[in-house]
Amino acid sequence: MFWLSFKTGLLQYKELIGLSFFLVSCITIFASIWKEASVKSTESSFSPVDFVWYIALNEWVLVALPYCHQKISDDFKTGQFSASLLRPASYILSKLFESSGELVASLMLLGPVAFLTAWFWTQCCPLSYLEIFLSIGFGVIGGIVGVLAFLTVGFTRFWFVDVVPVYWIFEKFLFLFGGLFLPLQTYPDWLKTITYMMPSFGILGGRSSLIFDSSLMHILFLTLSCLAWGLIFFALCKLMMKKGLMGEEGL
Amino acid sequence: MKNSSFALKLLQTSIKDSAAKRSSFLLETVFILINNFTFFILWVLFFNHFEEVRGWRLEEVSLVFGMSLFGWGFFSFFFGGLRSLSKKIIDGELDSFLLQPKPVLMHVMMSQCFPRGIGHMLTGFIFVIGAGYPFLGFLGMITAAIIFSSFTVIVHSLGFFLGQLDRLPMLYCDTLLLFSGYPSNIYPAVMQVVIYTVIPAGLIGSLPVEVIKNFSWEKLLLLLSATFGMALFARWFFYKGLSRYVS
Repeated sequence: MFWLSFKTGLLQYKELIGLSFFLVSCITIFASIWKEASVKSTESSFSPVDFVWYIALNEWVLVALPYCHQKISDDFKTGQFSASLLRPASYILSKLFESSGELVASLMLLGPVAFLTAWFWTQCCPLSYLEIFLSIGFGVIGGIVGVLAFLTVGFTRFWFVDVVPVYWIFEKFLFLFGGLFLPLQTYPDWLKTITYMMPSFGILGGRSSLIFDSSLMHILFLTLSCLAWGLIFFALCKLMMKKGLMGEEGL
Repeated sequence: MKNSSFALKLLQTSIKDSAAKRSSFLLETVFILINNFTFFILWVLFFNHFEEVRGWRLEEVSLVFGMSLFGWGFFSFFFGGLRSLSKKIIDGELDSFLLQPKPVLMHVMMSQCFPRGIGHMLTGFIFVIGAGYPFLGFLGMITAAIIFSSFTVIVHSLGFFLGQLDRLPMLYCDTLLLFSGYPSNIYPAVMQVVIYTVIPAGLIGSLPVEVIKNFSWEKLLLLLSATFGMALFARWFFYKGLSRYVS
């Protein structure tokens, strides 16, 4: 399932061109904002170069995340969901592997686009080889946590006619607590503490913060956060599926 | 006169259809309000850290955010049919519209209504009023709606000439929405040209803000002529494409 969807993902070049265009647009907007903001800022601990790379790392994973919640919703609409229950395979695992294959294909193709765009705007790379390796690794791990989160959103289809508004809310909280265009380090202390406990830490801000902090402590905390939230979302998917199917039977 | 009564009938049907699913409609509106306000908190956090960006403060961002949201909401609610125009072109779904003795573009535009547009319009309205410019802000909201709709017509009509476009029109429209919510004067010169032509986000955000904050009749005329010029071009482009249409 993973390889099949990975290969399909690579073949959908038209869509990836569109996503690349979107990714370049996002990095350009934020790079321009930071360039201007840094001129006015008195903050000396962060350089605008770091900010641009932070945003590139954030957007790289965010744009690559597949719309798996929408696919679950479509499966409900078309009756594919009911049909898949007859198969001797877990629906959640099949969706997880399918979406992960798509995610890895997008990450592979969008990675160079994000790297080159950030390089274009900063003319340098503030990451060491080890940090680049860690960023790629955590990009994939954070992306898989993101996929699990979106699958959880998708399973709300048992109770909602349309999952899109649920997705929006989740996405905006992801932006807010994940530090979409403002690194978590700049947040007020009370908010920073909350963000560390959120899944967005591994999906966005905490992962991209490797630019500012690549200490062993940070890496360990990031690993734990990804692992914990991955398990929580997986358990939630199973629970929602179980509860949802019970409700369907009742009908 | 005939056309406007037809448009009213289409609108009535769409609204009745949305009102039939009242609970889902209300829930969506609440979700959209939460969604938009949550995103705005990011700007509040940003401006807590930095006082301004090229003369733009929270007030200007609130204004542009409001106008852009209202425009997007208006377009989604009243002209929702445009969002799947390229699919209709490719799948030959325009046949049913062509069979009727009514203006095709207007019929397609108003054939679908996204009730969530109300949530965006409401948030947009709150932000514009909150920024303190109700009258000129309202003008900006209307021009934003016209530009979003015209741009969508143009992008989706490319399907007449290029064939299968997949998600590209949607991504292109999302890019316009994305750019329109940010100050346009922060970009380098080449990007400024793009922002006022290929992706006309400057016409939704920066130009109306400029008209509102530093009013002059010349700027207002420029905004209005750019908006209506684009609408006329969109209409022409659609019918030009329609002449090549085969189902």
